[in-house]
Amino acid sequence: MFQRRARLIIAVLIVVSLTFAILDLRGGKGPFATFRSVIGTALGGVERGGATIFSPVLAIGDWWGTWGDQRDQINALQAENQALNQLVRRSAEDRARADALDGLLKVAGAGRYRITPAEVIAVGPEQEFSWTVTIDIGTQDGIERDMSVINADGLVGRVSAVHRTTSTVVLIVDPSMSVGARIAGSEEVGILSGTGDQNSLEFQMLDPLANVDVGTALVTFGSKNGKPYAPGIPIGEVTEVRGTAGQLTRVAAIKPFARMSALSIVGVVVRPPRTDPRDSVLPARPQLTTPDLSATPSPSATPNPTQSANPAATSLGIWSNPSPQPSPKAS
Amino acid sequence: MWLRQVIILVITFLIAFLTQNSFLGRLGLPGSTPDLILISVIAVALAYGSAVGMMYGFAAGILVDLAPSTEGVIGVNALLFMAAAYFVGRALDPRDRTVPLIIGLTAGTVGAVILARGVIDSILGQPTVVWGNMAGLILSAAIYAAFLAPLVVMPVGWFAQKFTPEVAV
Repeated sequence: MFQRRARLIIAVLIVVSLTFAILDLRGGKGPFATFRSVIGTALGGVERGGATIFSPVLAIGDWWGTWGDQRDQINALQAENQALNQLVRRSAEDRARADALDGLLKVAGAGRYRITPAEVIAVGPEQEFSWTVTIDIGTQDGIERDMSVINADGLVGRVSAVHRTTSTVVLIVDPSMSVGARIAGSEEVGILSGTGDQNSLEFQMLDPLANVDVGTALVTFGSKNGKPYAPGIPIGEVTEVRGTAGQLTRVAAIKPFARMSALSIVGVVVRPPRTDPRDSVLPARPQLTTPDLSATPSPSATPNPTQSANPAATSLGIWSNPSPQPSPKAS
Repeated sequence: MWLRQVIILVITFLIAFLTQNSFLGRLGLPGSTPDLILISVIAVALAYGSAVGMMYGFAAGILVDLAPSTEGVIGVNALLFMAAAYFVGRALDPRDRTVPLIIGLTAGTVGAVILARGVIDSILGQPTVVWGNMAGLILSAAIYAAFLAPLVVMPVGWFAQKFTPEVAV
């Protein structure tokens, strides 16, 4: 089959291969160390060149080889991310709720109201033309009809119907609502009516000659036994006065402090303070004419009624700090 | 003629060597690394016949054994490649070389060489043979060889016919 020469060459090559194998198997450095290093250097250089050439292609290969792993990893990370996002959202929500409760407690403490906190669980449909919400406490929590409902910012409404575990609250923006209100820092009273517009209530002053400034705050006047309204709850501030002094009807537009469209944590005043807290619940704000009613009353201040109520108030238990905390910055 | 044939063989080896060590080996394919050099030996044996194939196989085997990143006994690959070239050159009649036949022959030869290498290494006392993996290795190598065979055998045969028609089979 083979030519003679080819046969000879092949025989020699086989013998050479076997010899190499046997020599190499003898171990040690052997006669091939130099040979190996020379060839290794040459082919190593070739391999390095090849590596440079093929590296871009191999990047694709790496991608292909690890594709499944990466997909699993992506799935796992996505799931983890989702869980963490949920956690973050929930913690933000928790913080907001805690803040709302905190503010509510401050208001309650400042006004000596005994409150039961509640959460708004349903909002009445707007097309019914009534502004009502449902809260998650009822008779079994000691809620009764006509109790005032507040939140951290001010008056929200009053309880209109009580069930076992829920109650219905009519908001002060409801057109059927009327609240006796007093202008902070004065004795001027009037009747505040809902208009259905959550940013503008109508305040009709009993004394048409009274002087009302834009930005003045309103607090509740208070009813007998604190029902339907406990005294001293901040309601809102005057944004506009219509009609001049002396006119038969003098009406001021009031913007409520509490945002009716964003209610979540509210408190039901289950026991009003024994004495009217006057203006001490109002948040301290520069344009307010209300004197600071803290422990150091200015000469023009009305006597602080809460001070006399302190011993009784502390026994009610919901607050421990007897003095209201208006900011020292208030003038 | 001689020179052109040698040049073709050297280029074939370099391409096969480079592609196998720098590309196919680093792909991280499951099972064995596609044995492109062995496939090139088969291609040369088919293009030039058993005798030239065996000489090429000897040179390729010695170089593979000496090259970095292989730690086998020098000469074993040379012997195996020569055996493969002999077998392939004799097995296929030049007149009925169809693609399926070439693919089957290449895959079978590659698998057989891997098995033989395992046997020889075991006999020579090389501790690196893991017999548990042998079936997977042979199977994967045969599959890769089946894919690569037409890509290597056809171009090598074409170049042999084109540049050295006197000696091409």
